[in-house]
Amino acid sequence: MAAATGTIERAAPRARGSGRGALGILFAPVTLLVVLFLAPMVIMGSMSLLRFPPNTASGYTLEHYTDVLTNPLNWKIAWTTIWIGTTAMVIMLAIALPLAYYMVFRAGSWELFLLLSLVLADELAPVVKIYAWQVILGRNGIVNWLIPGPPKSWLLFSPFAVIVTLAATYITYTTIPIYAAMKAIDPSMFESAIDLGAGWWVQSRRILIPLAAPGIFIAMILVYIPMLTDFVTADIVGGTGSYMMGQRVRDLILGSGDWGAGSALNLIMLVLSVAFSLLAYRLARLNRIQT
Amino acid sequence: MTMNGSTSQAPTSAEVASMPSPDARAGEIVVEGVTKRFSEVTAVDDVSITIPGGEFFSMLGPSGCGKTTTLRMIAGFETPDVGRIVLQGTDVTAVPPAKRNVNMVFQAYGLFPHMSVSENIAFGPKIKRLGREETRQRVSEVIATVRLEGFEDRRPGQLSGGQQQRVALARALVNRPAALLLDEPLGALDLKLRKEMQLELKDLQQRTGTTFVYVTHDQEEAMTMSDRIAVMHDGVVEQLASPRELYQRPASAFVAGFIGTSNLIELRVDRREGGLIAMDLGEGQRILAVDPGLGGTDPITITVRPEWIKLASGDVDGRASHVGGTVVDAVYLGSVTQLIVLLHTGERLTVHRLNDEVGAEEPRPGAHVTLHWAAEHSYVVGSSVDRTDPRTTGEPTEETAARTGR
Amino acid sequence: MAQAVHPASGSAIAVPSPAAIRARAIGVRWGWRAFLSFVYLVLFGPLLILVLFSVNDSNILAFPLEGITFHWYADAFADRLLREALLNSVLVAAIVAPACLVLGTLCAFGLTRFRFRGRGAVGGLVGAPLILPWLIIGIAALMFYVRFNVDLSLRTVVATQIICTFPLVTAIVSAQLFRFQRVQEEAAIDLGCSRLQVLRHIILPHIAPALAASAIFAFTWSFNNYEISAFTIGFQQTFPIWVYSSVRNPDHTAVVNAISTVISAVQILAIWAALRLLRGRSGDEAATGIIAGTEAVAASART
Repeated sequence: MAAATGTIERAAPRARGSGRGALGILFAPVTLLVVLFLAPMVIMGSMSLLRFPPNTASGYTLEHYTDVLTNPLNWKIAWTTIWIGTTAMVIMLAIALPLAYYMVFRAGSWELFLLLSLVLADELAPVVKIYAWQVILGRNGIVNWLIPGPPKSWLLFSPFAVIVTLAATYITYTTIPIYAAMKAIDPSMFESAIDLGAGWWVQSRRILIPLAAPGIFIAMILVYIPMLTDFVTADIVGGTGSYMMGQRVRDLILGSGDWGAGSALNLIMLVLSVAFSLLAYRLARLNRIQT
Repeated sequence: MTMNGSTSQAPTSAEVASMPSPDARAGEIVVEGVTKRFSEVTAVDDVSITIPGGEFFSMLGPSGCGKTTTLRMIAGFETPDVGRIVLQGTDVTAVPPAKRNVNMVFQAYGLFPHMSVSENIAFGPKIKRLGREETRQRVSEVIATVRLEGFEDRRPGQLSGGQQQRVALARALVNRPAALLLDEPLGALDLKLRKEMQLELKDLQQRTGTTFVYVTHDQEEAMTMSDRIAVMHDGVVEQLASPRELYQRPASAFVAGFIGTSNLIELRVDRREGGLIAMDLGEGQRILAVDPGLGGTDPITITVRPEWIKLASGDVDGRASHVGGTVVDAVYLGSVTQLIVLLHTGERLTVHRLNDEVGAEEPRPGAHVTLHWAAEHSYVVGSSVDRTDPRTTGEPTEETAARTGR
Repeated sequence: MAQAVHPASGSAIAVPSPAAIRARAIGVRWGWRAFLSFVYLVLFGPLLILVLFSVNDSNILAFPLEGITFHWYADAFADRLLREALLNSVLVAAIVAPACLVLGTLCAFGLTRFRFRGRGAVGGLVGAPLILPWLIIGIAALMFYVRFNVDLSLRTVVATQIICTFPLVTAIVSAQLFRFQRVQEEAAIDLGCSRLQVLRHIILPHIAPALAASAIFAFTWSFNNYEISAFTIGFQQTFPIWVYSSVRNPDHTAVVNAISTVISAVQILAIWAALRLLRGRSGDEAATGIIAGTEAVAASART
């Protein structure tokens, strides 16, 4: 972006009207964003403060927040969500890192094909994909069919199923930022490391991962938060043991109609998401890279 | 195909409009008292240049000296804060670049990747709506001029650097501009190709008779191609003259140092006699220069070109400088040997010794040598120029006038 | 890692035999192959399962398979609710995609080619829908519509989807604009182009592949979207919503397989075409960079 804006200085006619020109072009999109994106957020915030939302005349209160934060059920759900999400995240990183490494440094002419495969696989309707995992993990599904012995029921409608399905669904978006970051690494670094006697583990730990770190942080922004707020996967392949925060909020809003608690929880999640994104982005920037 | 007012076809109305006095002013560019500032930096400081039509004119200097900014102001991509740009007698300062009758060859070429070579070249005529037949004819003419026959249907991505360079040239020339502006166009080419292109450009300019305004930081390049050169430094024109003039009579220490190799010496005025100024160094050694006749006792700066310094053997002429020193470096460059000699005064002189004698003895590092050169070859820096107006508009030299018929 | 004897240190380090080195290399190579196979299995396995069961002559999703049949496909196209849902999805996507193209391109131009004081803030605002979870956006949208007495319908779906998708187009087109050489623009102006002519002859052809690809991505994303639609839709259904509601119904499952196979096939072809467009124009290197860059920036195609 810097190069493009640097040359803007040179074009004398444009520099003057830059404010006005930008205003004209950006007016429509920005207005729409404000009306359909910012305003709803504000409304949601206000709903969380009303005593009996959506009744705007019912006065303001913080009781929804206190209710939500003191309800032990919510904490349990939060805990479940976090450990499921984190486990899935760890698994995905364990897959994405080697995959990205392979694509950048080992794949040669296959690199583009792998990249395209990743992108293509992700374009299938997620609902459909998740449903397919239901088939794979079911009592009569392919996994049970392949594994000798009685069918294992814990494969499906369990935290295990949710973790596996989440990990499978988000691979593309985990791998691509890491791939982009690794592409910026100069391969001669590995050569000098080898020259100095470093084995593959040391190379990974000291060179590969630190340099790919910004990509890892970006991947987490793109993937960790959506996983923590997921409800579709939990609905389709999860069970009672995997009740996640996304489902909780959805049930509060669409199910029991408790907009107060629902919006309070939603807002809390919003704040946490933003905070997490900013933190991860700052960490990515600190590690100096352009994504 | 010549351009000197005798085109092979009747000029279009657009061309006529941009040539108010076809004969006297064709291709003439005047930069009048132009200053340009970017925030706190003054990139161009009160620069005035007159370029007659048909001249190969260069602006030479280190990065940041203002040469590219000046060129862009002639083209119209920058607007001067102070001063005017006059093209062919018309003030075009407020005219946008699209409407000026000059074309630019950019350093990065700027070829359109989605168009073929002939489409790229035809772009200007197409925008000007010259008509299909006229366009086709011009395009094939100019492709022949730059010797790109056979490449018409290739895309820029399929061409070598030198070929892309020629497409950029053709694309500009096809519009028959009053002047062609070139912004360090040869920078991306390797050395051999660059030298070939320099000669080709020079040839092209002479054949078409179009005014070329060329910007470069390579003094050898400028010297090879130009009729006159403006040496710029920190936004100011230090000297505007022909290559010979710049080399032999530099107006300032900067020009002396920038063009060719020079030996700058601070000459103390120890005594004056016989029209010479002398600095005595003891033991009969002295440095002499022709007295510029300005009087005063302040030291003067002289420059001596390395090829004029000789190694002495035996007695030295009374009108020659005479100094002793030690060789600290000797580099064999083929046709000459470059010696760096450390004088006992602490200064280092560069000496170029022609290797034209078989079996001649070559001084080695550590050897003591005596150097001498004629007093006339100690050039007092700036002495040929009117000191009250260092920024000269520089009228065209007789050489240029003779060639271009103006 | 084989290490040589170090004469300076005087002590010899064990050097594995050539056979051992070769064996290790082979082991590494097969290790990678196994890993890649695993990855591909995970990526495309679900799709294959669907295809498999869509021709299975039984409604029970169980192995082993019974006979081959295509009657599920026929059933799928006969199902009225399914047809309506598909139509709705296509309708919504057909409105969302062009709208996103226009808005997204406007934003891309506005953000990359101008400098103004609020630029960082605007950029952040445009990028926000890509980063925030769709769950939150969906619920907020729902509350917004209810608060202002707007009926939930396909229109509200369209509106909110547009907001969430056009930043993706902005990202893709910005990446292309960013790589654009300004010198071409100056050359065009030098040759006599007006601002509009530069746009038409130079800039638009340059970003055309990005525009086409964005349109296809936006369409697919809108079609596949579940989360936003679930919260902002009225009593109609879109395709993902239909799938979702059918999943719990054992009678429907094979039909779901069939139609999903068809839709997936179409989408794969469309995306493949989009990626070819991105590749063809600028060559492999540039395309890889663009794809990687935009996908990294855009967190889209979520449910």
